[in-house]
Amino acid sequence: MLLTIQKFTFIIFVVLLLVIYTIFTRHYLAQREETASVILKSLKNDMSELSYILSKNITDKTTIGSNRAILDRTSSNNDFIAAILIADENGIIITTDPHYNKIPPTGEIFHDDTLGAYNTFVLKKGIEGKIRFYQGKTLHTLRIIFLFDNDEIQLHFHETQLSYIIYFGFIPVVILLLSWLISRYFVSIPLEKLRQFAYYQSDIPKPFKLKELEAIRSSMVQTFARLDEEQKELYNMARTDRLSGLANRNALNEYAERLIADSSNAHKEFSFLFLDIDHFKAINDELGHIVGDELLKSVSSKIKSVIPSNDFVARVGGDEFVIILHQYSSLTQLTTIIDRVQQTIEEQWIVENNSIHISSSVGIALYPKDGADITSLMQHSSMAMYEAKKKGRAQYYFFTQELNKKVQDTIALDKAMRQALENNEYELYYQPKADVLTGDLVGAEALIRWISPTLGIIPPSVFIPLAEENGFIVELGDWVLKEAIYQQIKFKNKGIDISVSINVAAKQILHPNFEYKFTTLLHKSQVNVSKIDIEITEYLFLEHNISNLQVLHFIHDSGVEISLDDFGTGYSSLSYLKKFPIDTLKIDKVFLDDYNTPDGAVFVETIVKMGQTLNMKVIAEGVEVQEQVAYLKSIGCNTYQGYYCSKPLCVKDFEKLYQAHGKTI
Amino acid sequence: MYKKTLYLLLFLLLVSGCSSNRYQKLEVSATTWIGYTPLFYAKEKGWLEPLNIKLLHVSSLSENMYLYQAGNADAYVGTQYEYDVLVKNDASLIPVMLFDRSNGGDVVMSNVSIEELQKNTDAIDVYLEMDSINHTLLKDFIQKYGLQDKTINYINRDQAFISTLSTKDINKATIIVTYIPYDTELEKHGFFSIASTKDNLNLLVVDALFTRQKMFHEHKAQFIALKKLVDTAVEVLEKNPYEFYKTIKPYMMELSYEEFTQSLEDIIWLNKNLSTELKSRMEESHFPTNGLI
Repeated sequence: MLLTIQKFTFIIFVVLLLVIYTIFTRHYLAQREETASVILKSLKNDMSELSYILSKNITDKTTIGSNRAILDRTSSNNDFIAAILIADENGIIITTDPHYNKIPPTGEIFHDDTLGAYNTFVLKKGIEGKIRFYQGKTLHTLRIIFLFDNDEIQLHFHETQLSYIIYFGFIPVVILLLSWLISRYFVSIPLEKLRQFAYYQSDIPKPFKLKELEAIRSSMVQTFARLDEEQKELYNMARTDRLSGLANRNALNEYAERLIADSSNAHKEFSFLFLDIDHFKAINDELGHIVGDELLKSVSSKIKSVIPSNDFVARVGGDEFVIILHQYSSLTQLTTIIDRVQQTIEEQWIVENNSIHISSSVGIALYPKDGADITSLMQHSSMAMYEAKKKGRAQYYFFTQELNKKVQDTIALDKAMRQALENNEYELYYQPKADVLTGDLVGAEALIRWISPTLGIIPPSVFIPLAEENGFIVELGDWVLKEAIYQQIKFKNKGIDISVSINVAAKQILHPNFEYKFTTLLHKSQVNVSKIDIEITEYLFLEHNISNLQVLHFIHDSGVEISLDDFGTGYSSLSYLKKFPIDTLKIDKVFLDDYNTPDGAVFVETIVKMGQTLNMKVIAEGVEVQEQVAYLKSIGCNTYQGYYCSKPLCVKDFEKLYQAHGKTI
Repeated sequence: MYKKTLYLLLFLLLVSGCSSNRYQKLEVSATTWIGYTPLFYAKEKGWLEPLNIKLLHVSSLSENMYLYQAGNADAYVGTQYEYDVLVKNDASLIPVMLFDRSNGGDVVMSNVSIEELQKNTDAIDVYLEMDSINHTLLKDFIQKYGLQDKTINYINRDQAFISTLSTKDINKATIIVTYIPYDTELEKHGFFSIASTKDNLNLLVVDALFTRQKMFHEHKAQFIALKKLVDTAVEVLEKNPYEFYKTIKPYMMELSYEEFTQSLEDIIWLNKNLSTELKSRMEESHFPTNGLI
């Protein structure tokens, strides 16, 4: 059971009172008995003294009257004597108070020593003694009786009792009560106030009198004030972007919810803008994050300054902003504001002595047409922003249902594409590579095919760009790599010991675990590495030069050949060819398509000669007619592939082809 | 709960306080004198109890004075002699109320006549209370009757003892200074009055109640009430002396009703009226009258 301090002190108060009263009561009773004993002894002494004097003064009963003065004096001098009676066998001879003229019954006169003194005064009316005197030789005895003044005795004890009650009964109560009240005023109430303050933090208690309590109060006030400040700070931090000082995603959610509620009631429209800085990643990479952050601060401040004061802007990602505009009367006015924002961003920025030119892409979703909640507005404006970027950046794009459908289709494709890997719906087809001079099958390029039981055959041009965009290409590429390597072994086991080319995307090669996975695969499969050819595209050279160089050298050093696919269509550079360990150049189909024109022939021949000069093999892609083969032969190109030789075939058909025609087609 | 406890404590204090009398106890000592009988009457009638006044009774004036001096009485009755004795030690002593003036109540008695006393050549035994008006009365008597050259044998006894003396047991000239009602007893024992404050002696003897000023102020209400009771008792006495006598008889020894009524002739009540002449005379005797109730 938990007690309050007030109840606890009250119980202590009552217990102390009980203890004190028990002690005082015992003391009082003992004191009363002792006092009664002293009074009784005093009366006995007076009686003894008086008896002696009278016994000497009296010569016969008739002379007793001459001793009246001493009787009166004795009686008057003692408050506890009501009267003194002298009596013989016939009755009272003399009394000091005529009022008392009868002798009490023997039982009412004290003669029992076992009776306590106090009880004697309560139960008896007086004490009796003897006066012995001689008349001549004859001994006579008279009775001398002291009658108690019971009123006086009771008054005396009553006054004593009253004194005890006041001094030992009431005063301790008053002292304890005062102590209790003082402790209540100085301790209990302040503690209760502190408790309430700690619990509710409403009214700050006034300063206390006691130093320790005041120290606690003061500490609590300071602590709560600090916590309050920190709470406000945390509240602001939770709703403020630390870098830009703009609202963050939490604040955006709160603001949007309020605005949606208000707009819903008022049937009003507002626009939800998703703004992204174009190529901001390149700024971070080239100029560093410090410059990037400073630029973001400046851009944030600028955006804030150009939108209407009652509108809202939040930074929701690295270079992503959400602007909510609700104070416009027409789409024209809206686009004017957006133009102003974009133009402001497109101004020249000077950050740490760097002159920077940036632009922004803005996606626009309108409430409630394009979304009735924050999630859909965010999603749809984001879609529109990406569409603006796809359309060339530095522009805005309004969300449409068509765009939505397109995005939804992409999302569905992404989901199906991943599911397809789990369902083994992917298959590798192999397109033969033939020697130009002999017509021998010298290799095959593994090409992925997605054969969906529901959607049918889905060409790589549909899903590979998406896979490269969303990173699924790494997972899918790993599967292709493993499948092709093991297929080379299977081909070899069937007597088809040809080289297998495998397309590896830039993201796959640059993945941190690629080297480990590739080495493990080669080791585990025990494949003849000289029969594996990795085809890369020129896009790989665009990024991460040092990393690319290292990983390509790693691949090459492992004995695997490297082919540069689609050569001449991308970011071709002679320095790359010099720096990177490329074994084979693959001439893209576009060059072969116009080989028979003077301009087209120049490119094909140049590439072939460059390959020959650099000691590289050259493979022509997209060869579809015999004239192309003849031409290639004439210019010294080694190998070709294309429909003239064979379209990509499934494993079974490839094997049939190989077995039907032998190694020469 | 706390308020209930507080109320309980206050109630207990109230209850314990209620049992006390409204007045503090006041002890008044008195002697057997006809002029003090209104006090005894009041006591017997039970009038003193509500006032919490206790009347003490002693046999002699000196004993009465000693009782007061010892602190066993808060106020005492007496004559201006007892006042003069004690006021020397306690200047705050004041007379509170007057009872009577002796007009024959103080008596000089003897077993021989004044002439025989004047002729007597032996030592004369004188029984009296030395520390009382008896002594003053005796000096006045000696001076008035030319007994200054006589050998006086002073025998200091209280009136209770003196009243038991008998001419049968005395064979020499003896003087007794006494007052009523003891004189009546002594007359029965053979003594006779030879002088009194009524005629022979020119002595002023006034009976009053004395106390200290502080005591008077502490018990003023009781003293005032007591004065009213005395007045009432005197009125009763004047209207119905027999009833009065029956009430106070136990205090008056063997005094008969006739002797009682006769003795009333020897005093003059001063409880109500104080003549200018008497007042002047009292002031001449340094007896203050201003504070009298």
